[in-house]
Amino acid sequence: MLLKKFKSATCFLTRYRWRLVLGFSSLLLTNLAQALIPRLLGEAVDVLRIDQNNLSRVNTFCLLIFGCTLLRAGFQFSMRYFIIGVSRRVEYLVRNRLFQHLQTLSFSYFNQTKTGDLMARATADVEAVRMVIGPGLMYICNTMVVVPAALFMMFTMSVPLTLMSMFPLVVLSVVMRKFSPKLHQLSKRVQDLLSDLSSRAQESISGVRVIKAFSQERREENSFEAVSKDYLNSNVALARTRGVTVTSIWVLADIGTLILLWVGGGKIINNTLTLGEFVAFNSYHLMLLWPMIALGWVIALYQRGVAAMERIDEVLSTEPEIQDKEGIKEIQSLRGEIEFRNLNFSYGVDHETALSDISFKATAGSTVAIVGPTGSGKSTIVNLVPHLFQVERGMLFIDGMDIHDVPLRLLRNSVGYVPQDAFLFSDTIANNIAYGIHNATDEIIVAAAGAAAVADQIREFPHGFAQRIGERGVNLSGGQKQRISIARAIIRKPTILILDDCLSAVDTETEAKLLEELRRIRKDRTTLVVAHRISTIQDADLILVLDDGKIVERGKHEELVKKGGLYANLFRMQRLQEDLEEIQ
Amino acid sequence: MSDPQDKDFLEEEDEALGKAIDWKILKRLMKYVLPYKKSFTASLAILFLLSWVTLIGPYLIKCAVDGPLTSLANRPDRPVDDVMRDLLGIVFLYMGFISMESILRYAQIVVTNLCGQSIIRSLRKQVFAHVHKMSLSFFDRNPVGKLVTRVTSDVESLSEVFVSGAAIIFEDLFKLILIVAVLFYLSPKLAAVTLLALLPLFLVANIFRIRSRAGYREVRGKIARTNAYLQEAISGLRIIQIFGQEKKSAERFAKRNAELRDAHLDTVKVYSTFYPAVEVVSQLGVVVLLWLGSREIAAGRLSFGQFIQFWFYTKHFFEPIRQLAEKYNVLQAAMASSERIFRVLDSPVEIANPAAPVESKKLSGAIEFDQVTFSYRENDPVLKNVSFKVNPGESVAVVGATGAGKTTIINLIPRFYDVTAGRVLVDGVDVRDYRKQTLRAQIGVVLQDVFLFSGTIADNIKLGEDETITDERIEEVSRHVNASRFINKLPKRFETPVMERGLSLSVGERQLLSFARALAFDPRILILDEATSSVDTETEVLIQSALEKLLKGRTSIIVAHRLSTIQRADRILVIHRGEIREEGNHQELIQKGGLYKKLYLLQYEAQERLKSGSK
Repeated sequence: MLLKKFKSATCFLTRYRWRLVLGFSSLLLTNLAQALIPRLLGEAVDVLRIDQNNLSRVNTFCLLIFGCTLLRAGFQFSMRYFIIGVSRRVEYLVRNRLFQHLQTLSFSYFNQTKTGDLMARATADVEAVRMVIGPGLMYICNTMVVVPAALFMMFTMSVPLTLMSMFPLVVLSVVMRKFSPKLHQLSKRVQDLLSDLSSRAQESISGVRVIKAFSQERREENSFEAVSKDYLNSNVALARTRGVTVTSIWVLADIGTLILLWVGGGKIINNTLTLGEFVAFNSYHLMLLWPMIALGWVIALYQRGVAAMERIDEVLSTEPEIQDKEGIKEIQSLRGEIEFRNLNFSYGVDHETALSDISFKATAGSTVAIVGPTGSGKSTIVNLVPHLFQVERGMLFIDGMDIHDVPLRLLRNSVGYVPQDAFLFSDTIANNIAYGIHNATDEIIVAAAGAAAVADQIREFPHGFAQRIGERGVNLSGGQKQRISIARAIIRKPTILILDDCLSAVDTETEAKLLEELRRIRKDRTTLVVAHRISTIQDADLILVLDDGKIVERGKHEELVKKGGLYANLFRMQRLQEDLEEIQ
Repeated sequence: MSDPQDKDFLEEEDEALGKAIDWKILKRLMKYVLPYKKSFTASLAILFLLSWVTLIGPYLIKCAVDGPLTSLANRPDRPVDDVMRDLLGIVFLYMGFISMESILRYAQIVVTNLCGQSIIRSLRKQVFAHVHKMSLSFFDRNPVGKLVTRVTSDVESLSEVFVSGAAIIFEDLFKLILIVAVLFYLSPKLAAVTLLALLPLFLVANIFRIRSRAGYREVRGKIARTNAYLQEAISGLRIIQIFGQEKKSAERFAKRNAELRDAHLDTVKVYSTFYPAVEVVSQLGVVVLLWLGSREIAAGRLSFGQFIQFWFYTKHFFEPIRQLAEKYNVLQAAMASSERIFRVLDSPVEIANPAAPVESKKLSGAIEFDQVTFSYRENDPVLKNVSFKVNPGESVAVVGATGAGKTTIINLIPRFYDVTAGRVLVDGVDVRDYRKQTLRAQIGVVLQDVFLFSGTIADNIKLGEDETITDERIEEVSRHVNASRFINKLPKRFETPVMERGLSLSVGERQLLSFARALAFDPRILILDEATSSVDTETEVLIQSALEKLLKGRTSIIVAHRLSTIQRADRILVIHRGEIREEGNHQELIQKGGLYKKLYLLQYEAQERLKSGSK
């Protein structure tokens, strides 16, 4: 069947079978009721024609017509209500499923796929699919009922007249099939040019500084004008084609009336057709017009739907790169020992090597700090530990087990992670802190915030811990965000704590307080710290100095300072920086 | 936790909706119509004719019904051939009607479109040009996206009015008035009663307009909410996965998605009710017509043909009403868009040319800052009382920590911004007394982030169709600044298209290209914001030697990040917190052991060591 390609959506239809049964029976009934009306009107006209004083019979027809109208209207309501309603419900389910699947995919998938593209699939594409299984299906079924019903009524009145009036309808359907794709093509060109126009404006406004510096405003206007002119021309071309299409719909409808007037009129004169039938014929003809016009529309709809479904299925069929392999051994808990063994890593086949030959061991409960210039691979190292990216076997071990053999759920539940960008959700502060735990009480949340040295500031917000943040709430400073994301990590009491340069926006005074707390918290957990500021990590058990993806120095603070290498230099620079900041 | 702060989530664009007809705005819009008044009048004339023509069809049918179709019944002695001839006559008239209608219809669509699109194009041009006249502080206040929306979407929403909206409104109004007039002419009583029965159509259409509009807004809001969560979840997926919150996050998404579904289901209800309601009301008209018409026929006050004519006309009734209701929303949106567009057009050009500009001449290139204070925001000065002089041909390096005010200094010379207090003088004349174009034509600006336009390499050097810069000149300047080496390696050399925002060129290559661009215009004064990002040693050598050539014989002010650039400068200005703290050459300042020394140790010493290391 035509809907075979839409399996990922139609599989939800069975849930709504009763609604669909009601919808499609309504569809049948509303069309049958509609098909009776012109005939009744014609009969009434004929009654009037034969005996102008038989008004009581005319009254009966009035009532019958109105009765049919009410039936038609009632069933039309339930047809739309059920069929379109089901399509909206299915749309909801498809979108949920798409979202759930997206969440299982690994990070590398999102590095390759644009967010905007995924959003388009979840919105426009799901909508395009709905248009097929809702309105598209409804209109096609409508056509399949209206056409035979109207034709049947017409045949009962006059076979030759019916055959002749089908002529403009057939022409119309050919015209629509021919012009629909062309219209689609032209309007796509108009859309493309509009987006050209838009990116032209975007580029010009973004580069306004250069344009002004070189006094190139006039040239920009001219080049914008050129696109604007193209846009105008393609719009006019579209209008021409649309003009032809719209005009031919009108003309063919009128030709139908013309044939009726000519052939039907002749039949009336010859007494083989009544005036009432003449009137009825005209109505049936109009009734058939719409399905012919809709045909072209539904075809375009279907084509768009198929393409959209393919894009959705592409996402749904993408297997998560990182997931527990079958038959993985259950483990109760982790101690938190991490070992890198000659690890090499790159973000993709065509990417440069991000890490090479990384080896170190963080014993359970110890603190390992990683420093180095921007882009040296510090964050990459800590991102590998919660298995966010895939690594080869035999390179990364947790508690002596290869990371591939550690259940993902357990591993991630044991990790407290503070990301570099301090990503928070647009939700309340309390919900953000309690993000990763069940049934958090207010006390626990406040305690975590206190440990992250941010509780006092939170209390100052108008809604305190219930304050919303992000788009619809207050804007937090970088330092506040970082501390809230620290609270979110430590509230989980993780075995492994990962701090990815999470103090960069915190002022020196707060930093000291926070470090004191962290020292206490760090005591019984393995901690990986990426830091720009040496002061943060001076007391780490092991400091790794990274440069260009390689470990170039390792040791404790004093050893490294004495050594006089990259680390010592970094340390010196930072003291200078602090001095400079203090000059008023 | 329920969120009471959740309610005020409305799209900015939606809130502004108000009147559908605002005479002040309409009057202003009419000014854009004036240049096209011929085609605009033509399109109105066609619409007027068209509404007349639509009336002809039913009239011809009436003639047929009252004439040949019933003449045998009334006068059975008439020869059939006569009657047939009468019918044929009407058929021919009908054919004439069809051809006339088709020509008019086609002409209407094409003429209206051409006229409307031309109007829109000239408006768009004006908005675009006006935006480009604005000063940089305007762009600091208005994000690019918003301005692009003004030039595109807002103009586009107006075009709907000019291209189809206005036309349809006129046609429908003409048609409605004509039909009502003809109905009353045929039979006042029948007309009155039928129209009364059809009156609810207005009501239904209006209720629908309001409900569907509200529903549409609701849906838009929910779509925005669902999308916002989707976007958030994708950018925060790392957190979701590490914290193992996939299920909770899916629930949150499902909640928003369900709200969207319910908003949709509400509109399904509105639409499902609307179409049947229309059907019932318009059929009610037909029933009333039949009921009363039959009585009028029986009384001999109405002919069969007129009855059928009547019936045809009432069928034409509903479409215009529905269209009018729909166009109301379009008008409303267009008025809001016009208001936003006019707001941009009305924002004054802050940095305007002086009324009596100083005569343009070749500058010698002396620059002076005379007690300059500047702030982007009120009471938050970035430069405080800065005074310094640069002699013609001198090269001055500006150094300082991030945010010290270095970039601001160089922004003031080509008058990207106007000073808050004090004066900036070029050749002893306040920059505000020059024509902007004259001033800027003699200042070459090389920015840190090299902005490349889509187009070819050559386009990016000569910046478009500037005919005064020949191909030979382009090649010459490129060779001069060492850019020809990489350009010659490109597939189509100077004709190679640069990808959007220059993604295909490396940082170093873009630097060299921007040098060529500056040199092509041969400025007296060169302003350079040196790139901070490092490039490979080979390119670095090319850049440095190009820079040397570029500076020769020009006055230059350089925000320097490279030690070699600083050392080459005649003088160094050390900026700290918006003030000049130290001034002198490299040796002097190092010996002084103050701010510069610290900056040097922090930013430049490493470069020094690297360089000596690589030697």
